Amino acid sequence: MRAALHRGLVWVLLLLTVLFVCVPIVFVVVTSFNEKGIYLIRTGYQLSLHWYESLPKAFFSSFKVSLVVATASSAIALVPGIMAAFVIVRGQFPGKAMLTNLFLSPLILPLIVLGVSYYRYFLVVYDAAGVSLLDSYWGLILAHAGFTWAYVVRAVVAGLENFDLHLEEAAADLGAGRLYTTLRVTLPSIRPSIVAGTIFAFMISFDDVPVSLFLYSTRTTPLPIELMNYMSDNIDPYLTAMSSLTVFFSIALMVVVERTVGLRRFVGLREISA
Amino acid sequence: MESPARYGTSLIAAVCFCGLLFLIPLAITFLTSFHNSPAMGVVGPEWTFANYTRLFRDDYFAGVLLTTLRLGVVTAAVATIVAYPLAYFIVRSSSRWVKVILALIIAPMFISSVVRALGWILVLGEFGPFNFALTSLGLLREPLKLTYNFTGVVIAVVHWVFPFVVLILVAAIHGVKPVLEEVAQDLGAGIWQTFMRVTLPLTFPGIVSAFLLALSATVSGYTTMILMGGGKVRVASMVVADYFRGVLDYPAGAAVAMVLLAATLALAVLGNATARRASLR
Repeated sequence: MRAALHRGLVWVLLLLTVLFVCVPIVFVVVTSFNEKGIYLIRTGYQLSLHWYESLPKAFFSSFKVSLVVATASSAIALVPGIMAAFVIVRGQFPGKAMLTNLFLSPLILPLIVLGVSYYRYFLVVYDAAGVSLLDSYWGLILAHAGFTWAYVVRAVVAGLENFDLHLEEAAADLGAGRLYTTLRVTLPSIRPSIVAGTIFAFMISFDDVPVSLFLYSTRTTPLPIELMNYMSDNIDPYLTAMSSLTVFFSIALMVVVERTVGLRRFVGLREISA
Repeated sequence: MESPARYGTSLIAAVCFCGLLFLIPLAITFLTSFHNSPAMGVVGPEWTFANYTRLFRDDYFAGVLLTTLRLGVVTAAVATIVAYPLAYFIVRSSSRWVKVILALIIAPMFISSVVRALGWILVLGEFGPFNFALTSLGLLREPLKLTYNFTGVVIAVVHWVFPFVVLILVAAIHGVKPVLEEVAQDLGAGIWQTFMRVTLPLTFPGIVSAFLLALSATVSGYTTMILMGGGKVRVASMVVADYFRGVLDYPAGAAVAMVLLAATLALAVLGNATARRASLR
């Protein structure tokens, strides 16, 4: 009797927690399919695609901006990120611990501080060299690459730490050169970590507000900024419809992650068989 | 054996990348914070500490710092307390629902923080489902005001840090062998006593890590706070943004940015120290 009561209590608590986690996202999606607007409790619910059919064009161009910036920045961060991970795991030189902290520090620093720093940096670059990065995609892309690369570094470090060095020795014994061994043996066997790091970098860039806030222009407004600006004027069903589209996009990304590297490895819980 | 210079090329490439796209921008902000500001949007040539001294005599800024800290501590405490039982269940339960629950907890990490804030504004609003449920159950006579105030910000920020906190706690609880709890119960300890005397002390370093991570993320956060606070709850990151986008006083904004940076670094050092002490045991 007491055990049953205990178990019941656990499940109620669990249900409430899961409800808390899911409710805001589910409610946005549910609202977006209501022809009568966002106050569905007062107006009633009528399923329709009405709001999706006439979404503001600015949403789509912003979606494209975010896609371009996130793809380009994670691509740029990829190779230096892998190199940094090799240095961290295998390099032996004085000051390595400090360098490791420096490489990984974008993971913990306030992004707003990085945002204003890139803004000032690009102003200084303009004054010195006459290259304007603030009015083009390049400012956003380079800034995003500069801080999302730490996610690549962290993931690849984890992969390299679990890599079996005997594989490299075997390749060397068979006469493979160092570069060949790295490209054909080491990198392919840590591919899941590389994929995980790149997807993480892509996600962080795609969702970013505090850095983009100082770097975007009217022609290059990333989607989160566009939604935020729209939201400060009014909250309407177009907003929930576009938000739902990004939720579907996120879920698709999550499925890709589960299929390629596995969700648990992605979030760093690989060793736990929950 | 391997020569130290073996990863020389990689080292140089990584340092160049990090220097050009991370360290130099931060260094510029650091230097800017020690300059004067002769006009809007202009960084003067003189060197000065005035941006910092002015900041610490400013009552408005002191209030903002206090709000930031209060938000961080409340959020971190709530998130850790709510996440602990869930994390315990995820590790110890043999239910086939565990996988689904874990996936649902992780899912919000993939979803835009702007969209999540929008969701909370709709859910917690005057005509939203939360107030509707509580008033129709008779628990409330009139709707609670939960948007654009401190409570609303806490709820949305807890939601934002929640998956990260759960993951840290899951790892910590996973480190406690179930046999230790069984032995305690065999020796006559009740469920509550086992938890207080065995599980809680053994997972305490994990709890501290989770708390510090949530605190640090909240102190440095921006997006969720500005959307949920609607300008009425002011935290440090908003002051930085105001100086750079509104008043255009770059040196003053840079000084606030450096204070914020120092605070998060201090929290990170504290977190590392507790993690190291935990692993030494």
